[in-house]
Amino acid sequence: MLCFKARKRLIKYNWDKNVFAKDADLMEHLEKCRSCQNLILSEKSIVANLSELKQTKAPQGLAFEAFQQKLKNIKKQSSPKYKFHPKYIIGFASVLLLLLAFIPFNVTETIGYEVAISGIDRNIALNNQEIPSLLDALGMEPNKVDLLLNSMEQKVIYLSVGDCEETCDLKISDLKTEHDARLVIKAIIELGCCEIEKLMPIIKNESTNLLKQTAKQLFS
Amino acid sequence: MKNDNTLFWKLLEKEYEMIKAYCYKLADNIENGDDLLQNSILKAQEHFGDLRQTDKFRPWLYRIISNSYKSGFRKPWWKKVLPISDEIETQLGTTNPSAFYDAKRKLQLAFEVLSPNDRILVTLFELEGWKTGEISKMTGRSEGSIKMSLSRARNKMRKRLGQFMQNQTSLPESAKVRELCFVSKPEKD
Repeated sequence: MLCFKARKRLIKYNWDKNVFAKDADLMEHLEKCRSCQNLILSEKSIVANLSELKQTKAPQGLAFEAFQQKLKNIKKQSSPKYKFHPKYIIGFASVLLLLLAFIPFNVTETIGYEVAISGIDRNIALNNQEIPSLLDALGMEPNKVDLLLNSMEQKVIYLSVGDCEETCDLKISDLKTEHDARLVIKAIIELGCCEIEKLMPIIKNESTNLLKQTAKQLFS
Repeated sequence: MKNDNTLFWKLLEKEYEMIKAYCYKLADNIENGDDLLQNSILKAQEHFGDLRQTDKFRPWLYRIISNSYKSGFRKPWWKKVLPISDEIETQLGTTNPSAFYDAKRKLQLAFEVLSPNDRILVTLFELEGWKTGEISKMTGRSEGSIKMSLSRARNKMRKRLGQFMQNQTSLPESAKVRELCFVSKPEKD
């Protein structure tokens, strides 16, 4: 006999020993099949334990009057009018955050540095439009020029020529970081050919919001 | 019905001992049973005004208790962030030496596989002695569906215990089989 047939019969007999013990085929199967035996044992255990639990008295607990008093005290202590459930607090905070995320505000950002140099020979200033050639023309050794360029983040840096008489004023505006600006200034000071007029950051004013700003920080 | 506190307590007094036992049977330990009872009564008192007929008080009250019990399983996500460790959870129900909890512990393994809904049905039917018709009125489900759920629940419990025994016990000798297989059904009251 197959297990499923045996189980069908057991259900039909309502797991009653007096009935299924008379079924010779079933008993023969049960003698061999451990899993069906275990099912019968389980049923026996469940029936016995449910009956035991049903008959056992539940713990005493509080008497009705004491319970009534306890509940009245609880109701007095609690103020349900202003009861804040965590989900409302979280919801309120989320809405607030969402509103804050879309409120526009201005941010100032340093997007580069500008170095102004004066006292550069007119010919040199007019004929050299990039930093390497300028430094070369001012007398810096080629390997030092290479070393300087390798240390800088921005490799191609252009110059703009300002007022020119005997000497010219130059502006270097392509420097992206303060580190690059300092390297250029240091190199020019070492050459001793001209003067540094000023170093100033290039500032950009931008209108943004918290969401844009966060996205920018995340994806930059 | 007007939210009448005196009437509420009067009606509750008749049911108090029964619902207290029901809460203790559903919950894993005395503390949880007390909490379930207390929360359910507070809810019931709050919504007593919604009850139209006082003769429906009993099923109404049991429905509130059952729903409170079920909602205890539906923990919101912020409570799931810091769950009670398995260790503590097991300790909660296993230290009480009373005969009541001893009997409960024996059934714990089989109850593990039941959903809160099934546990409620089994508790009401097997332990509280409710008829399927009464359960049907309380839950709003048909009697056939209740019977089906009870049968499926019993099947699940049987299978769970069977698997456990399969892993725990060695094959009984065939001579003992007949003796082991004799199931004695409890006498009906």
